[in-house]
Amino acid sequence: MKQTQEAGATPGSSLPDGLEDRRQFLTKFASTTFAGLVAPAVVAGPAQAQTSPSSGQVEAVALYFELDEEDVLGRMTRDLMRALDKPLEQRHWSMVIDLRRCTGCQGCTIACIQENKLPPGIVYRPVREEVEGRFPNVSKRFLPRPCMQCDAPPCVPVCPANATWKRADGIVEIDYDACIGCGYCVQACPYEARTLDHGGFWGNNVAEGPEQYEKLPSLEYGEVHVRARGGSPIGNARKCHFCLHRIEQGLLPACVLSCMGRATFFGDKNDPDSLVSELIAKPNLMRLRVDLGTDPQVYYLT
Amino acid sequence: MAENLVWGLVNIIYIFLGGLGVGAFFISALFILGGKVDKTHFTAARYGAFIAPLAAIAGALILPTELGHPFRAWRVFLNLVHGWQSPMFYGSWLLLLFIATSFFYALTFVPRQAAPDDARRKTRRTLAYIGLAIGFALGLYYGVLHAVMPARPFWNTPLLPFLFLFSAYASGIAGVILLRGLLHKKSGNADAESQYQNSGYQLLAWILALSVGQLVLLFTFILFGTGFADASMRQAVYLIMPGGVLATDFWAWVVLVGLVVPAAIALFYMAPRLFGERVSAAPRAAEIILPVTLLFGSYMLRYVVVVAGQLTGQAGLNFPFL
Repeated sequence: MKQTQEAGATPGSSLPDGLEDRRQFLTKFASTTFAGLVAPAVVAGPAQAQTSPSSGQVEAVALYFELDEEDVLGRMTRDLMRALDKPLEQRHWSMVIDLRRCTGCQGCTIACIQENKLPPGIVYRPVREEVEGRFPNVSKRFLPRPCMQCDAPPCVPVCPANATWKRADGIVEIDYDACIGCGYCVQACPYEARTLDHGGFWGNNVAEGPEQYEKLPSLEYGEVHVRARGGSPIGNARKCHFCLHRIEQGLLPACVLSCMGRATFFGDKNDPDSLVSELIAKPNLMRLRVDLGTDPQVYYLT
Repeated sequence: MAENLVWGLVNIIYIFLGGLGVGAFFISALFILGGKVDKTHFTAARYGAFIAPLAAIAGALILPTELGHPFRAWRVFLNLVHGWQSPMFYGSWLLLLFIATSFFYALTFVPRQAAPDDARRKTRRTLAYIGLAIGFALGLYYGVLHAVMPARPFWNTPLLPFLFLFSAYASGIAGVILLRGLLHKKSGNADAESQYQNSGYQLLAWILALSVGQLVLLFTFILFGTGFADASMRQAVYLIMPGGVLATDFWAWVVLVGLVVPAAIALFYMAPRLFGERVSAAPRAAEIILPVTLLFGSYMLRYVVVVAGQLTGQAGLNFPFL
């Protein structure tokens, strides 16, 4: 059980010391998050630092009740905050997925579709169901497959329009205003992580046209794009981006938060204290198609 | 099958038309630059000169219809900092330069009185050299475009650029043979006829060589793919082996109709001169049937290759684990 207190309670407050500090922390955190949500944040350089709380306050959060064990989400959130304090080029976002814990619920798939307002035909993070063996010795395996954010991405050099590149923090980004939709990057990805957006809407299947929620912009890459008006990202290549617009504001990716098996872990590989760094040191680690030289940054525990 | 295809019929038609243009220019330039240019050589060169820009421009016009944002296509040409890593950047510029070269080359043939040794001779020959070089690179590019991706095992072979190049050259020559077969008027003049047969013999020789060359490349591809490559390549090649989804398309249309039949027809009508030192003359029927089968086979080759590549690798087959 962990309970720490900031020295010196706020005078005149009726709350115990620990709770007052927690309230202060939550107030500051909530206001910065709110500010980040309201103004379309342009995902660029180190300007993000001012919106993230300082690490000193994060470590000293006082908990309201005793916990036997901290939820990994709390650990990862603190890892995330610590990483956001660093300059962008010192972060290296990675993901670890524990295949033993994945139940195949597809909650991450749906959370991702919900978060990014994905149209029919585009799934950034499917969970592949794979059957192994021969009857009677048959087993099933569930394999979530986000974009690997490869360190040697095959999709980047083939782009003729300079619409995709690898950021300094490790995420492979797509410029929705530069992509011409040729599909070369889609062909080049060995993980089938990219898809072309052909302009479908869920409302077309069940109603007269796009549903109201489909007319809202997704905030991918911190930019406002309204598909319903017919522009980008319709016609573009699209893929998982580790919820870049969320992590830049101190929120964990949607798939990480929604994983009921707590099988998906996310963090900064460059931080030796982070959870993902601990997990990447495990012996039962695996990555997909390393033979192709892509150096994927999504690791699997088996 | 169709739902997996990122690159579909439009792309297949585009690379076919581009190849046809490259090949037509090839034979036209060869006939202009190579030795004695008689009237039938010049006529054949003229056919090739007109086919080349028309085919290339048609391909260039149809391609943007499959882009997600056709009106952003100009970005490719201006991507000078990073474009050098992308084959598509090279190919776009090569196609543009090829269209320009072949267009002006064709203009030198337009006047009715154009002849091998007229005032435009120097321009024509210079453009022929330039277009040969650009066309060679462009013909290879159509294969390089597909071959550079380990994610698509069926395409991931250095043989592919040469397969497409040979096929491109053969289709262009077939186009010239077809026009000759349709438009040639038999004159009573024995000299003119023997010149016609002579240039016809040269065209058939090219067809034979290029068809045999493609068969050798395909044989090598299958030999290595089924026996001496890794699992993902073997899975890929099984698509065109008996039992695979594309087996019929491959063996019936690409190999038999598109390569063996034209090669056999060419050899048959070359045989009198090749083996017996007699006169070799292909009848009009052969001059029409050979190109039609060859062009169809050339198109089907691109169809099989483009579709098969997208059914291999990650899409449609078992995901190979490490």
